Amino acid sequence: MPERSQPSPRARSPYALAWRKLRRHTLSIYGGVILAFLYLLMLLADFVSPYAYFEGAKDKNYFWPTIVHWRDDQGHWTRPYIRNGYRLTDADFREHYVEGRPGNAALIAERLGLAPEEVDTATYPIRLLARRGASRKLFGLFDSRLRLFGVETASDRAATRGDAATDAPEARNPPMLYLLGADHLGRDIFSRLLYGSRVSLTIGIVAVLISFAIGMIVGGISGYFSGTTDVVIQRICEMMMMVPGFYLLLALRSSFDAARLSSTQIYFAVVIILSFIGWAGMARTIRGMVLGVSTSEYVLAARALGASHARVILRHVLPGTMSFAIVSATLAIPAGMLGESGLSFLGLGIQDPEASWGNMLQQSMNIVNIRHYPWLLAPGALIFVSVVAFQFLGDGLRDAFDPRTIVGGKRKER
Amino acid sequence: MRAYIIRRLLISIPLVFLMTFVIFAVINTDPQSALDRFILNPNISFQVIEQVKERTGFYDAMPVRYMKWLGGVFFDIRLGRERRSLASFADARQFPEQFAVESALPVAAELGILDAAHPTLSLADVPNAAALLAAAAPRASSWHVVLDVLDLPAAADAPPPRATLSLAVAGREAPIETTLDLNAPGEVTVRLAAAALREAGMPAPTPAGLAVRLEGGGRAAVRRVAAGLDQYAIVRPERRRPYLSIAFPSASAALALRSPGSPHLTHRLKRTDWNPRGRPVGVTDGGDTVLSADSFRCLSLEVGNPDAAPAAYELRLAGGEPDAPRTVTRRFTLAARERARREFPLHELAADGLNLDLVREIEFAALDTSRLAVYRLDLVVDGPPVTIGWVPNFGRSHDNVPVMDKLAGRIRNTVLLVVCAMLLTWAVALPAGVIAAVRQYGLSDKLLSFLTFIGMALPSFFLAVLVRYLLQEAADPDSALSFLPSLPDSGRTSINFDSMNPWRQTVDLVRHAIAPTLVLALGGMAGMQRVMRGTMLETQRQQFIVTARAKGLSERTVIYKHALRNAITPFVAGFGSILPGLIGGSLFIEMVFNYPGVGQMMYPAVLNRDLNLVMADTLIAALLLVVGNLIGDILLAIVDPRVSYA
Repeated sequence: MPERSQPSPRARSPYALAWRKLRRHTLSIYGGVILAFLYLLMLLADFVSPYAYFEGAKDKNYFWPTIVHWRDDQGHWTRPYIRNGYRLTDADFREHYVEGRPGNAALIAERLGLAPEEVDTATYPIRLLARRGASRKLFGLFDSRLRLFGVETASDRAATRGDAATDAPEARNPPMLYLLGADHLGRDIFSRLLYGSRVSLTIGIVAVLISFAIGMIVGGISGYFSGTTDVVIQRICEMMMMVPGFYLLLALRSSFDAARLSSTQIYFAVVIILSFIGWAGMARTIRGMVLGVSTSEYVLAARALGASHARVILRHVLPGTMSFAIVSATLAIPAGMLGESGLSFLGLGIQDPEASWGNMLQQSMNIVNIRHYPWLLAPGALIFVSVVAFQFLGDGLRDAFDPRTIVGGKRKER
Repeated sequence: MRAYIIRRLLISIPLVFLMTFVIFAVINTDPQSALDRFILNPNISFQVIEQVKERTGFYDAMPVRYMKWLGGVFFDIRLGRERRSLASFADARQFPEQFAVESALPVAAELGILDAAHPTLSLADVPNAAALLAAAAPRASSWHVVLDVLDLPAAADAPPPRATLSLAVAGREAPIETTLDLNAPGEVTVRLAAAALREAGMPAPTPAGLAVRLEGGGRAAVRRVAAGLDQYAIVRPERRRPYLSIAFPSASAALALRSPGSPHLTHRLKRTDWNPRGRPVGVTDGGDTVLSADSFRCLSLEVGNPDAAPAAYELRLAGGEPDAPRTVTRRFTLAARERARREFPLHELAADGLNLDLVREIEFAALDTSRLAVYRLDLVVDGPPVTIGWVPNFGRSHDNVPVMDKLAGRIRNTVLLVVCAMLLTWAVALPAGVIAAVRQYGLSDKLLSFLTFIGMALPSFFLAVLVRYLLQEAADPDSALSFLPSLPDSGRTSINFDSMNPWRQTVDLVRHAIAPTLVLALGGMAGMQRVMRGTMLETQRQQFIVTARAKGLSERTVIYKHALRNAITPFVAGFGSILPGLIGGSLFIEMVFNYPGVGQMMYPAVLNRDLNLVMADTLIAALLLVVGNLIGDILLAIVDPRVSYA
């Protein structure tokens, strides 16, 4: 029995090659890491967010980001805690954030017309695994009041013990942990960003998946059959591409009556609209690629072996366009995200109280708001970060799938 | 080449139709909802809704509607005789606005000063005011006197002065009186309800019987006496107090109203001049009432005794233009309050010396047991049988303004914005792309890549919001950013634009356009820079560049004469593609900067399904698109000798 020879170097699959190149592309790895982090937060939104997306404190609209203390009054390190905040207006009608500490109690009580003992001067530690708020289905699985971190008020602790609500000063003006400030209804922007990512981060992907599925099938059919089918389909695509996109979008959206739809239905309406607009361009490009492939030998061979047209298109023709599709999908997702945020920004997308980054930005249409409450811009920054991350990733993927590049992302000079 | 252009144009005709049809179909999916905002608005009468329905072809099938729209746009054909409206019931849309605005009719700025020496002011002493007030008196629901308390008695313990407003009413012994204590200086309004009187069957108070008396010292000025109109009647004229409003095209026309066989009818005709402050021009007891058009432009008619409401009225117009009386539509609708209609044939409307034959439709409504009202009257003249207009007639928008009028100014604004932004984009992005390509992976390339990534990832509306924020900060002297140049952050012109001289006006327009133009340009720059860099890199790898270098040409010549010339061709060809963006490309920017462009107008129009407006815009966009693509292809053939369409 001959000795087993050294295994010959196996040919790597195109995907493995691409992965090897992608790993060297620093920016796209950064992009991918950022995205992975954002998507992880999205999946855990229910757990990570300290508040529910609809939970607000009525006296704390547009409230400042809460100061988190790491040292106690004696200057010793301690576990992080916050104090309740009060909004005081001075003689010039400027608003000031005043913490409810014993030294400020008299001032707060005087300005707000409270009894001194009504001012909340307690410290509230930020607990890991806090039990607070109303119970909800965590991850859609089990009822729980557990949140990753948060501030437990007396009524939360009472609810945990199963007692009735207390009448402490904090019950009327609960201390809120606003990591990124509050919106116009006193809701925590950080929590809403997390909940909003469920819409904003998925809607682009879903829309792109749908439009690419349509685009690839239509483009595949068009390029594979050519002739009259091709002409007809291409004219339809041209028409779709020519219809002024945004008006079509608006018109379609207005034909779904927002008042009569649930938030899920609106979500899918937006998805359908976005994919409806996007598929034609994809179909055209795929058709161009398929046109070249469909006369190649392996397709003819597949036909000669008796494969049906559908099988040939799906199993032999379209996989050749897959790498291109992946790259342009990665680059199309941010466009979908921007489309959604634009729609929501105009008030046509996801409706309040459901959160999406676009509809959270609606508040910033009012410039006065931003001047006083710049934290309202946070969703815009997040849109920016995730779109950049997608673009970096897409850029890396493009280079990775491009056979002309060498490992490291640079193109080979001919 | 010519054959190619003709062929392309021929192909594009059905394409334009299809595109417009798609939008038409989408917008028409639920025609009822387009009317919702009319139906739900209590200020809009059902007549108006019917008018809108007629105008928008609510009762037609969708393809028919589309064909009608298309016919109107391209040929403006009116089959049958065109009816030129001579006079018509005042556009009902104007009623709520016109009549709701003023509920109190100011009569005079200052009528007199009351003090210890002259404690009483009677309106009869102010002849002008009494006469003016008489006009409004019959419809007034209340009377107001506005007093300005100038000063109070010097002694602190003296009782405050009191003002008494008394209104003498015919057929009633004691005047109606209202008393008010004047405790502090400032304006005080004394109000007397007159509506209650009318309900009780009393005649309207006479303004001459109005007097104000001041007791207890101090000084007060009677600033204003006003008759308050009945709000309800005003806002919804067709419900309680409709108007027959006739706008006369020429001043010499006169209208005769006659109700044969009902001599005891009372017509109260009021001159209103499109304005509720009108005064009656005559009260008749049946028979002929002849009004000349120079005495009124608009009148209302109330019939005293509805039981004797005539089956027919005769309307005659005298004077006016000498061309031709023709058919008269003889329809006379008596609409009860429940909107049930009975129809009567109108008697022949004899044209009296003049040619107007005119009544297309009159609708009367029996409002309650005491009044009959005319609320619709159209006087029309038939024109030539078929007219064809060569100006595209896009119809009217929901608010009944010709679409062309609405669009023209907006298009101008948006084109200004977009063209400036495009030029800026090209001027910056192309050189930047070339630089990045020439120094691939160099510092400037990396910097530019970084910037373009930012540019592509910032949503345009977010960028616009940020820029507005910066501008606001710049305008605030206390802000840390006040060193930035101060520019207006919204709108197209300043408030005092009209009072500027032309030079200042131009400067003002430019200053307002800078911020939106910059934001719009930045949005496009990033993408274009990337593409330019890509094409330039692609070109630099071509054989002829190698050849050029091998020939020993300078790097400069190689880049700018050989590479750039070839890399730039797709952009030249893409020049045509900016055409469609001209009117639709800047919606978000216009929204955020509150810039009165097409997008800002089309956004609510699409949401409200303002069909004519949206379709006009779509058609223009489609034409621009088709023409733009054609121009692009022709340009490509010109700049790239390898492309030919022969």
